[in-house]
Amino acid sequence: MSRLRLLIVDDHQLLLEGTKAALQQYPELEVAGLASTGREALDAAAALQPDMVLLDVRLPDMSGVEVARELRARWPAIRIVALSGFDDSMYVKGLRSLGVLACLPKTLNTAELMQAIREAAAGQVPAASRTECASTALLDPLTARELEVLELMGQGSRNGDIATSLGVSIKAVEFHVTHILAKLDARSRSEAIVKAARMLDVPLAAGPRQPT
Amino acid sequence: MARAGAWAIVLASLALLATLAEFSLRESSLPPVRGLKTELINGVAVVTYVLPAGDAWDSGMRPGDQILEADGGPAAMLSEAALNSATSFTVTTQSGITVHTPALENLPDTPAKDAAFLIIAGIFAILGATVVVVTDALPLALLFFTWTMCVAVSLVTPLGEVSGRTWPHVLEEVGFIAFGASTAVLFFLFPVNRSVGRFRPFALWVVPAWHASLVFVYAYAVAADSQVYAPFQPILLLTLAADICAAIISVSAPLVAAVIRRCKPPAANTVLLIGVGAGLLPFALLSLVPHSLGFGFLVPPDTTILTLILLPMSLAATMGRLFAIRSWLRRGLIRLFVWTLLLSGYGLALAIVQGRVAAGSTAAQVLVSPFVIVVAIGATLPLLERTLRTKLETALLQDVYNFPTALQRFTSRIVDLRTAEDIANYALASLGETLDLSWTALALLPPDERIFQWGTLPPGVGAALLSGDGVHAGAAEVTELSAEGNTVGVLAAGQKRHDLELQPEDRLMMRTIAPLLAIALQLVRQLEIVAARESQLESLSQQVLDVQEDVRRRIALEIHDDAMQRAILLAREFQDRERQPLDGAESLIELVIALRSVCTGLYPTVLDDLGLPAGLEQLVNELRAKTELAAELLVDAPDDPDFGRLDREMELALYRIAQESLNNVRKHAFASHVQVTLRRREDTVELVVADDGSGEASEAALPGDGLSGLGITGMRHRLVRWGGSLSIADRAGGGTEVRAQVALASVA
Repeated sequence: MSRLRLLIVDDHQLLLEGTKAALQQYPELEVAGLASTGREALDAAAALQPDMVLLDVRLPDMSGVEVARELRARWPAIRIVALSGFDDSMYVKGLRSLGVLACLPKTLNTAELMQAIREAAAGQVPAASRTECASTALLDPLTARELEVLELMGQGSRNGDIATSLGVSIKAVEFHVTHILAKLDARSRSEAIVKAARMLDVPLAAGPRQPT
Repeated sequence: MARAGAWAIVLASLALLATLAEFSLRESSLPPVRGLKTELINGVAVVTYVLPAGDAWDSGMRPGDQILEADGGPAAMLSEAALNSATSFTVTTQSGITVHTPALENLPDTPAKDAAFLIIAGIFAILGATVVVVTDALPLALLFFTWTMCVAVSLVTPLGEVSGRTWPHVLEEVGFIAFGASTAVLFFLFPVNRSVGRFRPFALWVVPAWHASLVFVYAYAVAADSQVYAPFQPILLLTLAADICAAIISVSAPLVAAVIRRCKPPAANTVLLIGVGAGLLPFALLSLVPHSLGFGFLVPPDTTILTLILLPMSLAATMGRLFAIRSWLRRGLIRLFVWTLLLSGYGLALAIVQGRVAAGSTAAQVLVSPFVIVVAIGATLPLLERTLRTKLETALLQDVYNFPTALQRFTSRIVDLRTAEDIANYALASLGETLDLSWTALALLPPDERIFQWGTLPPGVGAALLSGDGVHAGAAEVTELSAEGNTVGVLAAGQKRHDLELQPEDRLMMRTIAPLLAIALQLVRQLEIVAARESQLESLSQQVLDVQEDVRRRIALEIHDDAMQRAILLAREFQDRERQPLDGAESLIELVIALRSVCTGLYPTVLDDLGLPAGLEQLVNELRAKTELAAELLVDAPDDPDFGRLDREMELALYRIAQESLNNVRKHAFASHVQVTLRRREDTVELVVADDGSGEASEAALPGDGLSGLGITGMRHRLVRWGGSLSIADRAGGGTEVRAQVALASVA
C-alpha cells in the first residue's frame, strides 16, 4: 500500500511545522507539501496532486471554504480534512454543503488527528476522538464537554451557573451551547433540551434522574 | 383695444394737421384780401364789415368807417373786390377823424418762417402723439395731445392767414381759444400740484364753458356783426393771459409752498416751471399783454410763440413717472429741451439787439457783428448747455426710482435667497439698475475673499476693494457691509451712467441696504459654515466607524493568527503526551475558546469569509446560546439562492445593525422570540429584526447603547454612505421591528 501523500495548509507557521513534525512519525503518511495561503494551497495541489489536504478553514487570502470548493471542483479525488480553531459551526456548515464531512477541531491531539485522517482516507466520516455520544442521529456528535453543558442546561441552569459548576468561563459555556444548538439543529435552548432528551437520553430537567 | 384706439386718434389727428398745413401753404400763394364788406351810401363807400383780426381790422378799420380813398384814388369808384385788394386807405372814422391807414402789405411770409412754424407745429403734434402712444395713463395723455394739437393748429393756420380769407383766421382764433382752455385745464389736472385738486370742477366746467362762450361770441362777430369784436378782443387776450397765468401758478404753487416750508421743492415742478416760464412768458409778456394794453407788440407774436416749444418738452420730460416714459426718452427730451431753451434764448437776444440796431444804437451794431455773435455763442453755449443739462438731469433723475418701493422690492426678494452668490448678484443687479449705475461690485472679505460684480468693473478695483481701498481705485461710493460687529465685505458702485453724478439719495440707498445685505450674507455664511461642519462631522464619524472596525479587525486577526494558534499548538502538545496528558490541557482549550470568543466579538471573520447570511446565523446562534430566546434567521433571496456577496462594508454595516438590534432585544425587550430576516431583491437588500417583546427595545435604541455605543443614531449612521434607511417601529401584535434598507444600485 502506497503512502498517503498529504498537503498541510495552515497560515500559522508554528502550527504548520508542528503538525508536520507530529504527523511525520507515521510511516503510512508522507507530508508532500506545506502551504500557508489559499493560493499556495491550490498551486501546491495542482503541482503535487496529493491524496489528501489538511485544510485550515481560516486563511489570510481566501476562506478555507472557498479553497475547499475550488479543490473539489478541480480535483474531486482529493480528500479534504478541514481543521478549525474552534472557528465554529458556520464554516463546518459551509464545508458540509460542499461534501467535506471531515471537520475537526484543531485542538485534537496527534493520535486523534491521525485516527481521523485514517478514517477520512478510508472514505468514512471521522468519529473524531470523543465517541461517548453514540447516537447516529447526529452527523456531528457532541463532545464530552458539550454533553456536560447540555445536562446542566437540562437541569435549568443558566450559563453563569454552568460556568461555575464546570469551572470554566461563561464565554466557554456560550461557545459550547452554540455548538450544541447547531448540532441539534435547535432554534432555542428549550428546543435543544427537548431534542437532546429524545435523541440522546440526556435528562430533561432537575429532579430524579432517569435511569440510563 | 385702448392702444389701437390711441393709435387711430393720433394718426387721424396728424393727418388732419398735415392737410391743414397743406391748405394753409396753398393759401399763401393766393392774392390777399382785406376782409372788408362795404356799401355805397350817398356816394360814399361805408364799411359794413371788417374781418375780425384781419389786415384791415389790424390797421384800425371798423364797421361804419367811410372810405375816402383807396390806393390814392377815390374809393367810391371802386368795387368791393377792388377795395379788398387795395393796400392803403384813407378813412373817416365814425367819430369823424380822417385817418390814413398804414400801407397794408403782405406780411413778410418767408419760406424760413413757414418752415419754422411747421416744424414747431410738427414737434408739438409728435410730442403729444408720442405720449399718447407710449403711455398707460391715456386720459391725461389725450388731454396733453389735445393741447399740443391746439398749439399746432394755432401755429399752422397763420401761414394761410396772409391771404386774409376767413377760414384761416377763424381756425387760428378758435385754435387760440382752445389752446387757452386746454392750457388751463391741463395744468389744473396735471398731477404736479395736489392743492389744485379742489379746483377740478372749476377747471372741468367753468373754464371750458367760458372758452366755449368766447367761441360763440367770436363766431357771432365773424358771421354777423364784426363790431362786436372790438370789445371782445381784449377780453379774449386777457383770457389767454389768465389761462397762462393759471398754468404758471398751478405749477409754481408747490415750489412756493416748499420754499415757505423750507423743504426741497419737487424736481418735476422746477423743470415744469422753467418750461412754462420760458415757453409762455415771452409770448404773454412781450406780445399778448402789451398789445392788449394798447402798447402794440413789443416783439411780434410770430417770434415769441416760438419759445412755446419749451413747454411741451418740459412737460414731457417731467412726465416719466406719470406717463411711464422710458428714461432714455426722457434723457433725449431733456437734451432737446435744453437746446431749444438755449437757441430760443439766443434768438430772442438777437431779435432784441437787431431791434436796437434798427433804432440806431451803435453799441448794438458792434454786438450784432457776426464775429462777436459767433464768439459769444461759441464761448457760452457748451458751458451753459452742460450746466443746464446736468442740473436738469440731476433734478429729474432723482425721481427715476421711488425710494420706499425700491427698498421694499429689494428686501422682500433678498430674504428668499440662499447662497452668498445669489444674494450678491441680486443686490448688485438690482442696485445697478435702480440707480442706473455704470457698475456695482461686492467684495466678500476673507475668509471668503470673493468679488461679485455687475456691469464692467474698471481694472484694479476688485483687488483694491479686497484691500480696502476702493475709493482711490475709482469707486464713486464704497459702503462697508457690517453685521454683528463683523465686517463681512464692502459694497462699491461706480458713477451713474451718462456722466451723471451719484446723488445723495443714491448714496443713502446704498447705505440703507448695506446692513440688510450684510446680515443676509452673514446668515448665509453661517449656514454654510454649519453645513460644512456637519458634512465634516459626518465624514469624520464615518472615518471613526471605519477606523474602529479596522482596529477591531486587526486586533481580532492578531489574536486569532498568533495568540490563539500558539494556544492551540500548546494544547495539542499537552495532549500529545502519550497516555498521560498534562493537567493544563483542559485549561488551554478553555483559553482557546476564550480567545476565539474575543475574536468573534471584535470582528466577525465569518462575515469576511462566508458572507452576510453566515454572519447573521452566527449572531443568531450566539443569541440562542446566551439566552432563552427562540431566535430564527430567514434568508430570502429568490434571485440568488446562495444569496451571494454584497459590498464588504455594506455586509459589515448590516451585520452591526443586526448585532445592535439583537443586543437591544436581549437587554430590553423581554421577548421570547426574535426573527431576523434578510431579503435580497434585484436592487435592494432589507434586514428586519422583529421581536415579540414589550416594545421597549425601540426606546432603548434611542440612547447610545450596545456595541456601537450610539444606538439608533449609530445604526442610521452606518447606512449613510449608501443612502440607506432605517426605521424602528412598534409591531401591531406587540414588540419592535427594526428595518434597514439599502439600495444596491447605489453601490458604484
